[in-house]
Amino acid sequence: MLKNLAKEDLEKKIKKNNIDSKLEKLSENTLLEKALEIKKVELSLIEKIILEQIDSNWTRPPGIKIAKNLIIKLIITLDTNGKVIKLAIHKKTQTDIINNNTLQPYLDSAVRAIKKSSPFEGLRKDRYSIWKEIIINFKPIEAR
Amino acid sequence: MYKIKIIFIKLFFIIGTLSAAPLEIDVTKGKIEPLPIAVTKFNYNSSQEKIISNKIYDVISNDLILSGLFKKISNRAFLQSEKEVFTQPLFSDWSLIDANLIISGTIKINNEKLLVKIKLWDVYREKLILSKKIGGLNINNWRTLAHIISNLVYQRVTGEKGYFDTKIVYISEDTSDDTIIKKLAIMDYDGNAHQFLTDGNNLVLTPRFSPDGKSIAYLSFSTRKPTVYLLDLLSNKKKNLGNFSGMSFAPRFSPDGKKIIFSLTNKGSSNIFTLEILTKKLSQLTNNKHINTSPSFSPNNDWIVFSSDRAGKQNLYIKNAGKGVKGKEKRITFDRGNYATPVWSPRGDYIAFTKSYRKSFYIGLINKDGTGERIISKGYLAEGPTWSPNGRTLAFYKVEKDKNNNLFSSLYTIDITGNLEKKLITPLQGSDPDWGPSIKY
Repeated sequence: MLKNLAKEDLEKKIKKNNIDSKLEKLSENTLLEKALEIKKVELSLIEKIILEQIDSNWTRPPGIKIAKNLIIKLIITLDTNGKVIKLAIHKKTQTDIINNNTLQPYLDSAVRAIKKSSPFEGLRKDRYSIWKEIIINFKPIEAR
Repeated sequence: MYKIKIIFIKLFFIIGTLSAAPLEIDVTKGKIEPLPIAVTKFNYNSSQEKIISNKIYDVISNDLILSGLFKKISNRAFLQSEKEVFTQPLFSDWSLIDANLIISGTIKINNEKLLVKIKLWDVYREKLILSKKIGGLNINNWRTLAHIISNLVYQRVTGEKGYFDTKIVYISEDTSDDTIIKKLAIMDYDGNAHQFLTDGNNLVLTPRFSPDGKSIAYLSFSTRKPTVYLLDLLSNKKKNLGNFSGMSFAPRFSPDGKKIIFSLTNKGSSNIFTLEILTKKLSQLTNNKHINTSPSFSPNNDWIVFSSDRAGKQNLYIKNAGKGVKGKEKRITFDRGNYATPVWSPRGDYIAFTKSYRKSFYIGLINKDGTGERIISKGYLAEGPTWSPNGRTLAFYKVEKDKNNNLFSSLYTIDITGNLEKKLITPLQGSDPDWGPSIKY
């Protein structure tokens, strides 16, 4: 009898533990999902702020020659005030320009757009870690 | 409590991992609008150099504005002198007036020869992006020198060759009396140095430059039978292309300058032929009972594009030019409307055409395989596209109605993006333009 009661108690405990761990897992997942959702919203907001400023400052040369799938890739580093403190040209873009000198004006126009946009405005300082380094891909519509 | 802590630590790490990868943004739009440029007058030492400096300044400014790609900043806004800029611009000052680029230079005249040094500065990149010395041109050729400078600036900024040293030949139309007098006329691309090449006694049509720019093929009605003539621009002498049984029309040179391609009529039909200029060898490229006309070579001379009504209405066809009549002809237009006057781009990427559909005319572009058709201009009557030598601008003509419903014809240029349409100023009305080559220098 005592043996049976002990067994029952143990089974109940195991069952309870299972429910607890399921609940834990569920709340963990919900929190994670929420956090990721917030993250996504924040990222897209930061992206929008930066994109608008670059777009309005990018005057690109018309009529691309032999430049299907052209991408000018720049990596920029910002200080906490949104000022561009470092601008690097991605290796692939450097190689593309060496191989096709007619693309140089596109690089020029992209760099000009970044310099004109600096300092970027409207970025939250407490989210600096997200926007301190950004990769910008300039993809002219005509090159697609 | 312990478990909650663990969850937050997990969250922190997951979010931390997300932040570690840099944010990546795609910029696709931008804008194609005139780039603000500061053109400073070239530095000089003598009064003669000052006069030439002013003239060169005017021509460069006009070239860049006419291209539609540059917006000239007023000289009154400049904060530095021409000499200071030539040595080293203060970029922060120039960015205040949003000058993206600055042109500076010096000019010297030695024994009636011009020597010019030019510098092009990128203000936002804080960099000298072009530095050139040009010399040896006679003082009378200051205009050519100015166009060469514009070409260099244009090429450095856009990646395309400039076309500021080119000429346009077209049909000038005088409608001041009740009759229309059509003359062959030639001018610099900007309307300067305009001159008439024929006297207007005979009707002339479809003038086309030779690839070296030294002669023009055109259709003249000087005899009873309309005939293609070749006009040598240096000697002003013309000669008959050949005595054919039918009427010859729609001539155009091959890009290598060795052949002329044209249409010949025979019993109500017209077919396409080539004539080798040196040997006078005639070859037939199409052979059917329809109207095959307006042929144009691809830049490598291997293909031709032409219009034909064999399918009931005018469409565009391409065929290998080396295979004579036996070569396959491939239709490339299938949309509604009539397609005519195709011209292959000098860089080979597009074929420009005229399209008419429901009482409107359009200038359009299409790939050689028939894909990617797009319209870049529209008008009551818009016709006859011709390419600039760099293949990124077209000239054509439009007939429009004025306030009194009178029709008048004018020449226009437009960028291949369809964004920058500009009217060319001619002394009289103009139609059927052909854009000549760049000077070799």
